[in-house]
Order: sequence, then structure tokens, then C-alpha cells
Amino acid sequence: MSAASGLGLFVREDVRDTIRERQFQLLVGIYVLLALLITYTAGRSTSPGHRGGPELIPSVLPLFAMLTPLLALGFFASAIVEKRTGGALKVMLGLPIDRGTVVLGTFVGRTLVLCTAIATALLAAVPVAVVRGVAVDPARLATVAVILALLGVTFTAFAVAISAVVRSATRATVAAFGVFVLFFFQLWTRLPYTVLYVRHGFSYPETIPEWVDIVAALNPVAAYTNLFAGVYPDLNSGTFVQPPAEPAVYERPAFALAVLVGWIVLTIGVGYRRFRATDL
Amino acid sequence: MPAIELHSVTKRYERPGLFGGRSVTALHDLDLTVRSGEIFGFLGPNGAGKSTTIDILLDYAAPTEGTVRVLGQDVATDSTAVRDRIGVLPDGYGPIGERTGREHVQFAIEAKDAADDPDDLLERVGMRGPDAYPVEQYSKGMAQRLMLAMALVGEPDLLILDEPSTGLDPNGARTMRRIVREENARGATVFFSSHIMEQVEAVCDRIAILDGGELVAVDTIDALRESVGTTATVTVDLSSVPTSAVDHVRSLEGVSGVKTNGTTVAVACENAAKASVVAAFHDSAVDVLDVTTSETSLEELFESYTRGVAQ
Repeated sequence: MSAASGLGLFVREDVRDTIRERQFQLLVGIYVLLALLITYTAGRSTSPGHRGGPELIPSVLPLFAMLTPLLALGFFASAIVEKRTGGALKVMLGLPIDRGTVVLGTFVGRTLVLCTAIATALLAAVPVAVVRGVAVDPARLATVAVILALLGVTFTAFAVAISAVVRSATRATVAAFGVFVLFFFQLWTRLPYTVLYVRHGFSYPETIPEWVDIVAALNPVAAYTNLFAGVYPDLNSGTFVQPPAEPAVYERPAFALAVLVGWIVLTIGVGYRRFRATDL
Repeated sequence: MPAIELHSVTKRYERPGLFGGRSVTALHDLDLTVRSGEIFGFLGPNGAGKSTTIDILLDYAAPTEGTVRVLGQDVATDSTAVRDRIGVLPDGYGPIGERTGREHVQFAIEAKDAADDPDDLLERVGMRGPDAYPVEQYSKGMAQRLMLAMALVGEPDLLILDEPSTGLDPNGARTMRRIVREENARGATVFFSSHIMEQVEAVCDRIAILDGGELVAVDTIDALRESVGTTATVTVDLSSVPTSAVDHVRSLEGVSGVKTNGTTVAVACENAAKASVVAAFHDSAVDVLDVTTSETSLEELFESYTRGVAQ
């Protein structure tokens, strides 16, 4: 069996697994329910004098931006490790399926699941928005869906890499929580400052060197925010990162996009290398 | 081309610790060759390293040292190609998601790009009916049958079965033996580990005994019996025990020991000497009431070769 058809089979079966285990339905359900609720309440708050009136994207975005990394990590960080502890990997790897297919196939499968959930939720919100008098900008809806999906895919990559590397579901949960706190709650940005503080004899220098900002821009959540700010400067992207008023090169959308893709390649690559070398 | 070649394989499990790690050597410098077309039994007490050896054969675990070739290919580099041609019943397996038995077999058929009919395979292992339930609800024996069905997918050249009869009822164990013979007749090599002596004795051409991570014996069961020395016991019930007859028997060629218990005499001897032992008592003045003979059981063989678990 060729590598491509092997990957195809694995992805198909992985997606079916999430459906059999109701993971797919639960994830789509959470997204759709929240999208509907937010759109509905946004419509209620319509007041005639309000400037421009409510709009779909600014209403759902802040919650979705936080929810997407959280759900990706929460749902997918146990994907491979639970197959390992349950013994399913012994059956799969007794068949002509290689370890790369397991890591990449899980990543692709879960990416499809998450993207379906995001797309379904945004589409489901449209009729409610129309009925409740919330404005919908189709082009903006599509663009935001793509950017949001990119953030989700990045964190799916983190989750799948974690699940390939750790040996128990408990550790996977802890690691996933750690990744969320590190990137979403900006712990990442504190790290270069700490290094700077220590290197400068336990005090801050008067001018903060540029590398600190570059490191901060490498945070995938910051990259998402910078990407967003570049496309829609007027929208609140829904993270704790404050997009710079005058972005440097490393804060521009193109660099931000490269950062997100870089994280995806890096995490899946490291996850695969560790998984390939490990004993079941 | 041998089906399996292990060359000076060592497996050490290192457990790093803050205050000095621990290291366990599960396999020590193991050399083993399984010829193409044979049924090979892999014996050893618990913890001898049987499952570790199989894990290494299947690339579930990498050897610390040594090379492993299966069907002429290096499992470290051509793992997928190897697994395309072998059927596996691993130890410590679990269901893949919430699939039914039939879906598991179909998964194996698709993964191997085989043309098997799932019904035929399920029928062969006696699993028609329960195949529609999720495997999570299976008993150990049912899961074992299902795994055997999956191992048979795609007419593999080599079957690697880790403790295949675990959890099987007597009918299941018989089915397992029958399938092993059928697959072997088709041309497949069969390698299986077990600690159930009857299973091994009934089907194996050759056996290896592993103990404490080292091979202590590799040969046919008969040859191992020979090498252990005493290979049979003749027990004779007599009306009385004449000393002269006992001494005569003791002096016969091939007799290694005589034990008297009341009117029962137990003679340890080689297989060839059995007849002359019985004849000697028959020709003496006393009446022979009953004669039983037995071969050294594999159990005793096993006992004489093994001493305990991995150090």
C-alpha cells in the first residue's frame, strides 16, 4: 500500500473514530450552540441609536479566539496517547501503517474535525443573525473563518504533538494546559523579559532590545493577533495581545503567517521524531 | 532465506531517575534464527523476555544493540514493508476506537490492501455473530479470536503470535492449533510464544527456551529430550520385587536409575531401552501386573532448563 493511500485510510478512520466516540458531535455542538447564543443576544441588544448596529463577527470573535485553542488542546491532546495506553497502537502498528502516518494522519484528521466545527458554527449563526437584525459581511465571515481555523490548526498541531510524545493521558492534559497558559496568557512574553532581567544584573535596562519583541511575536497567539490586525485593524481579535500601532517587520501579517505555519511544521516534526524513536 | 534472524540483540530498559537511574537488561546478546516454513515455539517463564523479543521483531521497541531481520528485511529501516507480509497477534493489544469486530477485520484488510472476505476470516476463528458488537465489550477469549482473524488477513508469509491461546476455551485452543497447522501447510512460517506446554508440543517443529533474557536451548522437542538425558520412565507393578531382577535391570544398557516403592518399580531409561526393561521383568520369576511408560514431559524439560525471571 502506498504511503498516500495509507495516510488517506488513516485520516478517514481517525475522523470516523471521533464520530463514533461522539467527540465530533460534541465539538460541533459546543461551537454551534455558543455561536447561536451569542448571535441571538447580540441581536437583542440592538438599539436604534447604536452606531452601525451589531455585527456577527465582532460579536462571536472574542469568545471563539479563546475557545479555539482551548478546545483543540482539550479535545485532541489525548488522541495518540490514549491509543498507546489502550493498546490500539499495537494493533495498528502490527499492520503496515508507519509511525509517521499515525502522527500526520491524526493531525490531518483532527484538523478536519476542528475546521468543520468552526465553519458549521459560523454558517449556523448566519440565519439567526439575519432574523435578529445582526449584520453579516460574507467576505469578512469567510476571512475570519480562515484565520480562526489557522489558529485552531496550530493548536491542533500542539495537541497532536503532545499526544505523540507523552506516555499517559494525565501528562497530556497537564502539558496541554501548560501550552495554553504559556501562549494564551502571555507567559511566553514574560520569558525574554526574565532572561533580560537576569542578564542585566537583576534589573531592567533603560531601552528594551528588539529581540525581546521578536520573541514575543513568535508566540502563535501573538502571530494570530498580528495577522488579524493586518487584515482587519478595526476588529478586536479576542486575545490578550495588544497589536502594535506601527508594526515592525516581524509584526506584519506575512511574518505572522510564517510563524503560525512554522509552529505547525515544528511541532508535528518534533512529535514525529520523538514518536518514531520511542518504544510502545 | 530465514524467516527471522536476530543477531546479538540486547535490550536494556533505562529508567532515568533524579538520584541515579535504574537499568534492566531484558535481553542479553540474543542470537536466534527461525527457518522459513517451520512452526517455531518460543518458550520461557514469565519475565524471561519473550514479549520483549516479539516487540523488537515487530519494531514496537528498538533493540539497544544488535540487528533484526524479518523475511530478509531489516525491521529498523523497512518496518512497513515487513508488516505488509506478516500477520501479528500482539500482547497487550486493545480495540481501535469503538469499532465492532467486523470493522476491525475490515480495517486490517484495507490497511494491507488485501482481497479477503471478512466473513470467511471471522468464520475460520469461530467469531460469526459477536462480530457485530463493539470490541470493547468482548471477553478476552473473543478478542483473542478476533486478533487471530486480523493476523490472517492477506495470507501472510509469517505469523507472529504472542501467547495466542491466552484466554481461549478448549475449543478455541483447538481452533488455534488447527489454524496454525493450516497456515503452515499453506507455506507460512509460524512463530509463537507460549508457556502452555501442550500447545507447543502439539504443533511445533522446533522450540527455543528463553530464560533470564538469554536463550538456553534451541532444538526439536525430541532432541531436547535426548539432551536432557533420561527420556522415559517405565513403571512396573509386580507381585513381589526380586532383588536379582532389579539388579539385572539396573545393569541393562540405557538404564539410568531404578527406584523401588513397595511392589512398584520405576525405571528411568532411554526410549530404546524400554522394551528390554519390560522383557527383563517378564522373564523373571515374578508376575508383572501392570506396565506404564511415559516420556519426559515438556514441563520437566522446561523446568530443567529454566531457573527464574530476568535479573
